Amino acid sequence: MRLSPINDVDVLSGLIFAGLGAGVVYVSASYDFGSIARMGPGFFPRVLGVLLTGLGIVIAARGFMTPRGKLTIERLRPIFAIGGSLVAFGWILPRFGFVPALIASCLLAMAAIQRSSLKEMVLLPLLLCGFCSIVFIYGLGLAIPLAKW
Amino acid sequence: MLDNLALGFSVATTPANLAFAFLGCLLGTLIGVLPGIGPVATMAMLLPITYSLSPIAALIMLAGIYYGSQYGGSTTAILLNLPGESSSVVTALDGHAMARDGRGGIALAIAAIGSFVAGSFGTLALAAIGPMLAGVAQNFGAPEYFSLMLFGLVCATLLAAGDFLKAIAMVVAGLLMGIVGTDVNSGASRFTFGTVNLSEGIEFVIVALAFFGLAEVIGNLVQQSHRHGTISKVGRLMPNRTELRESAPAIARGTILGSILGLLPGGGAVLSSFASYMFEKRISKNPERFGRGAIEGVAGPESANNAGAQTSFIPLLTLGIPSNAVMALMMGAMMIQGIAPGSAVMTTNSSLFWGMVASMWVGNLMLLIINLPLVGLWVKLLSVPYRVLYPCIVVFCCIGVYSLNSSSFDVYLASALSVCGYLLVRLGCEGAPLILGFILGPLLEENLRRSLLLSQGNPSIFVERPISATFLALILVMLALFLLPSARKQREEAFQE
Repeated sequence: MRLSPINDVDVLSGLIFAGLGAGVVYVSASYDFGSIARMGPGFFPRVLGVLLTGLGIVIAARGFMTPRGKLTIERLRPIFAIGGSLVAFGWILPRFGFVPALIASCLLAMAAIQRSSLKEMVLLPLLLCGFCSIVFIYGLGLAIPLAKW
Repeated sequence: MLDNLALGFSVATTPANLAFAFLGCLLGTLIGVLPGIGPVATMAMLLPITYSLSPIAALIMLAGIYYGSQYGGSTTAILLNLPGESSSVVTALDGHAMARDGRGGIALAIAAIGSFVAGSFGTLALAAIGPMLAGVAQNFGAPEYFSLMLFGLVCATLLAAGDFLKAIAMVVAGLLMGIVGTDVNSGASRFTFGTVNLSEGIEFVIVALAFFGLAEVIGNLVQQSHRHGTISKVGRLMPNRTELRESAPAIARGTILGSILGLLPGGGAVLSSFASYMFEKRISKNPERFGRGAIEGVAGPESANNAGAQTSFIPLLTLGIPSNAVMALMMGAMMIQGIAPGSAVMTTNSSLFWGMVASMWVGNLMLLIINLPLVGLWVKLLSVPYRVLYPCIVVFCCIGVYSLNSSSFDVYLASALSVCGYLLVRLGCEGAPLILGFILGPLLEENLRRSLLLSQGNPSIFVERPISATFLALILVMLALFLLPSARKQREEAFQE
């Protein structure tokens, strides 16, 4: 019997869960466990952490025995573009205001697929800025400056 | 019950609440028509907006989005073979076959009529069963609630598609995420890693948006799965007498099946529509017509998904247990408004409860009216390309998350969670169990703590109290039913179909 590789979906997800569970147990070890009658803040997380570790090991072991298929991700670009788009929004907004943050995150999001024409790359962020400023800032009264230096 | 319904209608038909119901239905239909963005993501995006609304207006609008999306999803399923929502996947089979034959209008009309009948019945069921269940739940103590929640979580993972072990692991991960922050009992900070940003816990909206909105966008972009079909002609709208006679029994069966399945934790619209399609096919005298434009194949599932959507509110409103991701969102919305979902809603907040019930019926009527004449308009919306749509979704998510606490940290967290959410989906771990665990985490811990305090540390309290023991026994029955090899095979076949 051949064991499946580490990037099998079951093995990988099992290891993630087991690692997460072990991490939870480790971190919550410093919380007061209390007793069964008087559960401390550490009780619930430690029980769940052990449970999650166990589940992870079972899932991973099952994956080692019978492979489910490798994890393949066709394109990495959208992951970075969308993730980056949010990070840009969060970083720019408090420093430069609403409009710059919006334009940056919109353009970054659009970079996930290279299909947009130049016209769209100019028009869409501008239209979004107009629409969102009206709806969120004026309409719903979010206290965010449109732009600042 | 009539008095209560009258109270409900007086709340639901105030101009403002009618407007919010209309807005919700309109938005829901819009979302349902557009593929690649589901009701959970939309409701999550709009949650921050509802902060400024009154509780009843907020809930009416969110509920409208939910059942509006069921209607909208079937429109595209029939005309384009593109199910906008997972609950209309089966509608596409026969609905689109009918549309290719030039009977698209009839399929749409039958779907709308069936949905309306089912929605009305579901609303009545909610009005009838709700108070009964709430009455029972009023005697529940901590041990009963603990066992009930456990039962709900186990059912939700068993009935959902996908791998059971992974779903349970996702529930546990969700429970753990739910208790991040300051522990209400001891004041201890848990999993905050020394940052104040996490001391209040992780915002529900962030988790919902990351796992259902943004992760889905990433998924669509990675797979580049935004297909475009050709739009079939709508044709004649009004079904003739034979067609009505053929579909009426299917509508009735779908309504009843959907109403029952909607009650189950983990049930709701998706399960109901699949079950109804299989049922119709099995009892049909000539099952070979299915997939080639059988009208029962549209009438049954469409009625079932709407009935299921309606009755899945029952466990939430009466017991405080969300049965699926949409209901977890409704629960989040209620808690944001300061309402603890559960049996108390009906007594302390009866105008809210009955107003919501009545507004569902009003909303279904509105949908019948706005959908059929406006079919052309909805279909036009489909020509909006996804490459224009998705940056808007991302930007709205950003604004929604930031506006919660004016915190950049929240946006970074959303970014990280959406990437994790996408990777987990690719690893075969769905987001729905996680979100259920997330919302139930603190409640489960609290009820466990109270039960054990009550029994002075003796865990047998869960089997000594009859109601609690019943739930635990039901968990064992469910596990046995689903995990025995023979049942497991059947379940896999069912999901493949």
